[in-house]
Amino acid sequence: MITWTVTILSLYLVLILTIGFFSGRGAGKNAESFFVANRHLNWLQESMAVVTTIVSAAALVGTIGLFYADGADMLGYVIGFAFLMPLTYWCIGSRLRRLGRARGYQTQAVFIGDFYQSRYLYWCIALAGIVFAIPYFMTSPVAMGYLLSRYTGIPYPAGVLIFVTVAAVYTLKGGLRAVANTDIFHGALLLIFLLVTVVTLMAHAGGLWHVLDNTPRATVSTSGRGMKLFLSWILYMGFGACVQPDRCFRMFAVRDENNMRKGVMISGAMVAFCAFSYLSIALAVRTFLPNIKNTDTTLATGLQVAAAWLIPWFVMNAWGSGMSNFTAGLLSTANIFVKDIFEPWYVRRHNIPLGPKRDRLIILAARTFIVCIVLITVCVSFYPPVFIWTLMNLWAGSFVQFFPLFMLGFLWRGVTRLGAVLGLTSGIICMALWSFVLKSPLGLVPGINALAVNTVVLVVVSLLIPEKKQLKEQRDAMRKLASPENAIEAAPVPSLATGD
Amino acid sequence: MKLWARAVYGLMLLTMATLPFDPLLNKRRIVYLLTPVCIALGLTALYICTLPDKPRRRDGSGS
Repeated sequence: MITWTVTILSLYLVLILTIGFFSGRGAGKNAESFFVANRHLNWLQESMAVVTTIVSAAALVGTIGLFYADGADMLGYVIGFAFLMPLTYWCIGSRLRRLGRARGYQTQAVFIGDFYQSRYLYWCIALAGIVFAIPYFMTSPVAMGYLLSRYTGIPYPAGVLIFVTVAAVYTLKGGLRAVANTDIFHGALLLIFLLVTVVTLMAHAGGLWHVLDNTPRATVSTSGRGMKLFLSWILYMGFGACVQPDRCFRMFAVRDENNMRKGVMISGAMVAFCAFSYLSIALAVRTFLPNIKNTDTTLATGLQVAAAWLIPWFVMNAWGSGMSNFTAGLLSTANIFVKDIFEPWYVRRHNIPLGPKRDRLIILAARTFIVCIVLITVCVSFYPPVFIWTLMNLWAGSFVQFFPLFMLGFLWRGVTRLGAVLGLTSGIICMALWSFVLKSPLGLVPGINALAVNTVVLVVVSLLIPEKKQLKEQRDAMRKLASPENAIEAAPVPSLATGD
Repeated sequence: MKLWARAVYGLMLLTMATLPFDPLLNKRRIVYLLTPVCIALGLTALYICTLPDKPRRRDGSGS
């Protein structure tokens, strides 16, 4: 088993490096080619990127554990991803994509800063994108180091170093194009693995009907904590996924409207399939192993009992998901650092003109930043701080607070700058209070309650306090540019094939 | 067509989101079989909703 795991994982890493190297050639020309792949991602690259980032290693381990513990109450997670995520992705993502092509945006902060004409919102989003995202993606090397050590006996520090080195090498070489193409490979393997796992575990558990008829928690709770959990997941996954920076910045990279549409729908279908697989796996494992204490080991323990031959594939897929998440995080934070901080505060202040010299400097800064982050990650992985999970919870709750700024900003003409500023501030304060000081009301997670406060404050302040006409007109102009009626795709990239 | 698609999407979302309040559908086998069917119908309907209203011009001059 150890030999198999090491062999499969080694082959996998070699293939990933090869794909990353070949597909990432020429990506280091400028920031647009490095971070947003010249805005040429197709639907498959887009959808697989979304899937592999959402179906992370943490999801394969922790989320399946939650499904094991809470059963069908976790259907809210499936519904949020299957119904609301594609809707919000389309509403926000397609507009950001159009604006990105028209105005050169490739980070959320620059867009929000321009849209609301607010430096405060710009810095809130830029700093949150770096400060909160870093601990989130740093958990991948830690988890992968432990996983490798447990199943192969390879020492934990060696596992962390292998993971971080492979991920960093192809990200540094090929930027988003390398990451997107390796994501296709990761994603295809992951979907096959989940399908095989569901069928194998269901067969071992005695078949689908036997599992459904004999497992507790196979229906949604009609009251209490279970029902609140169900509803919370719908909102959290539905509204949070599309504004997290490691997913959001890829919207700027999609080629055209048609690829965006297909990518959004297919990613919704694939994420829904993966989430539904978690439920099936959890219910099946519950049938033959009803008393797993550490629910994080649900999938691994279930496989060990029912299909030990799948363990090497589990380790490989967990590594693939972790790598996808980690590389997306590396690129996303480097993108934020370069476009939101380095370029406006160094390049423009030193009057470095547009051209190859400036491109070289920006790419050098991006790569240096990535190397620094990788070094910090290695240090953190060797000595993980106790507050890393608290930071992760803050990360999830903080980013969902940005949702009204995007959604209401695009869809409601009455939104004002003051409303957006006060709404976001109150949302973040409430989330911190309900996370650390007070108990969150109604038994819902702090981020959801804070989102409700944030939205109410934004709407009430926007309705009560009028704003300068000029600001409203600027936002209207951006809405018009972002609207589906405005067909702007052909302009930046003329078609060579048709000569248009 | 789009109106129908919106109605189907809304109905599917409502069916799934109100499962705790629906004793008819909230049954072991029904929940498990209903979920993929609702997701497939909902996503197809959403896809139809997002299709452009009329053919887009390809000369880049806007609509």
